[in-house]
Order: sequence, then structure tokens, then C-alpha cells
Amino acid sequence: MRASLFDFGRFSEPALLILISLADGPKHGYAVREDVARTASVRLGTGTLYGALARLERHGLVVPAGADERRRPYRLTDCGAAALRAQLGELRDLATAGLRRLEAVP
Amino acid sequence: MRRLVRLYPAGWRRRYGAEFETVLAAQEPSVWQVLDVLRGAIDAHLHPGLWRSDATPFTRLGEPGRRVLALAQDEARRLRHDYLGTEHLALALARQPGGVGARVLSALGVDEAALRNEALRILGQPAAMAAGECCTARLLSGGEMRLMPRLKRVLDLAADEADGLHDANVVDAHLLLGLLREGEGVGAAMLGTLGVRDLDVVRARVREAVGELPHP
Repeated sequence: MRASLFDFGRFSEPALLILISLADGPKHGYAVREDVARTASVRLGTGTLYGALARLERHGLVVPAGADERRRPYRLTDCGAAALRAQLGELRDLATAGLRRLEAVP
Repeated sequence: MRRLVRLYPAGWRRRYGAEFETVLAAQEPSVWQVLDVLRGAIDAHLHPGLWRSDATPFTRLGEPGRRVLALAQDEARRLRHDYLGTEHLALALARQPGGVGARVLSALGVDEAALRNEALRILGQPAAMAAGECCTARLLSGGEMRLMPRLKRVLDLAADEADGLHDANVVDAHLLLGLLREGEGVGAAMLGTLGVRDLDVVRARVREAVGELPHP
């Protein structure tokens, strides 16, 4: 598989899930975790959530979008949206290739 | 559970501590949770670059100042620049909703659209962005954006302005004053063309705007 757009080690998958969660609008940390649990059935621990968020912020893929320190919302940057789109496209291509092979087996 | 946040470095807690506690408090305590936070804290200690601002001008940036710099980075990427310069800072100041910088600029008749036109006039139109291309190279290489020397100088001058106004933190208003004082960068040129060049006038406007804030 090709190198992923963002290689954050063990934080790569949580980072992708966070980007997906922010794709329909800004959310604060708690809302991101609830959304990820609902849509991807993945339980993000608080340490993992903030390890991934810090990396996304450091790379300019998300930015804090409010002043409320306790419930600070984050939003995708243009760059974050482009990275997410590219990453999801790669995953779709991979899924398509896998499904095509399964269908080809008699 | 809440006490677990103390495992993190002090600098990390200043940045993320409050929201981290909120998320932590909303969770059922469990061994798995504790281990996850423990691993997160170790990660934060091992990778100070994730939360620490190495350059000294950054360490004094208050929350509004940080947000403006994040926006400036966003502007640089939009324009497909691999550096962070005064022009990106000028755009970011105008773009910060409700910020003192944006309010002062708007009181002086300058808005985001005018500044953007000015930036495009001086720098030329950005090349069309191919999907996913904007940040790929940088993220794979893990590199940081280069800070232009003039922007560094602006950050120093902004810190000086904060001292002059007896503010501990450097916020967006100081960054605006720093831009004007630096005076030679593209950012200052953009502002100058739009009629913002008199430092004393802008400083007075900043004082007014800060005085109107609920939290001085």
C-alpha cells in the first residue's frame, strides 16, 4: 500500500477518524469522541485523542476555532480537507480492488 | 481520573489541559482509560516538538496570537507557499473573527477582501491546487514551515509592543503593531497601500479596542 498522506505512527488511524469527524463542521474534543464512537464504532481514549489532535494541529490540518478553553472546537483547514479527500480516495481504491478480486473467485 | 492530567508536561497542560480534563471527566473511569492516558503522557514527554514552540517569540504568544499564526499558516498553504511571511500574517489578522486586529483594521477601513486583493496583486495569483497535493510533500517529510526573517522580526517587535502596553501575552493586536513597525515586509506594504501606515494612529486604535474588551 502506498505511503499514507500523514504518517503519525499509532496515531494515524485516530487522526483519520478525527478528520472524518470534523468534515461536516467544527467539533470540540468530547463531540469528536462521541461522533467517532457512533460512526466508526471506535473508542478513542483521551490520551490517544489528544495525541492525534496535537499532531493534526502541528501539521496545520486542523485549527482551534474558538476561545472556550474547556470545550474548544476544532475545524479542518483547507489543507486538512484536501489531505482527507486524498486519503479517503486511496482507501476507496484499495477497497474496490479487494472486492473485485473476491468477485472474480468462482 | 482528573489528576491524570498531571502526568503531562506543564507546557502541554497549558495548551490542552482544560479541554483534556473536560473530555476525561465525561468518561467512565477504567483501567484501559488510565493506560491510554499514561501512553499519551509518555508520548507528550517524548515529543515536546508537538506542543512546545521552540523559537522564543512563540513562547509568549497568548491564545489569540496563536490562533492568528495558525491562520497565517493556513494562508501560506492556500497560496501554495512553503514559507511563513508577513503577508500571511496580515491576511490572518484580518481573517480572525472578532479579534482586536480585525476590529482595528475594519475601523481603519481595511477588510479581508481588500488585503487579499493586495496580496494577489503583489505576489501574483496562486497556481490552481491539485487535490491532496497542497500538503503531501511536507507531511511526508515531516518538515516545518520556514519562518521568514522579517516575520521573526515582527514577532520580536510584537513582544516589545506587549511590554510597552504592560501585557504579559503577545496577542493579535501586538502582531498588527509589529507588522507596521517592521515596515519593510510584504505585509506592511499591503497595509500601507490600503492606508494603514501611521503607527501612532493604529496604536491609539488598539488601546481603544482593548479598552472595550470585557476582560482587560
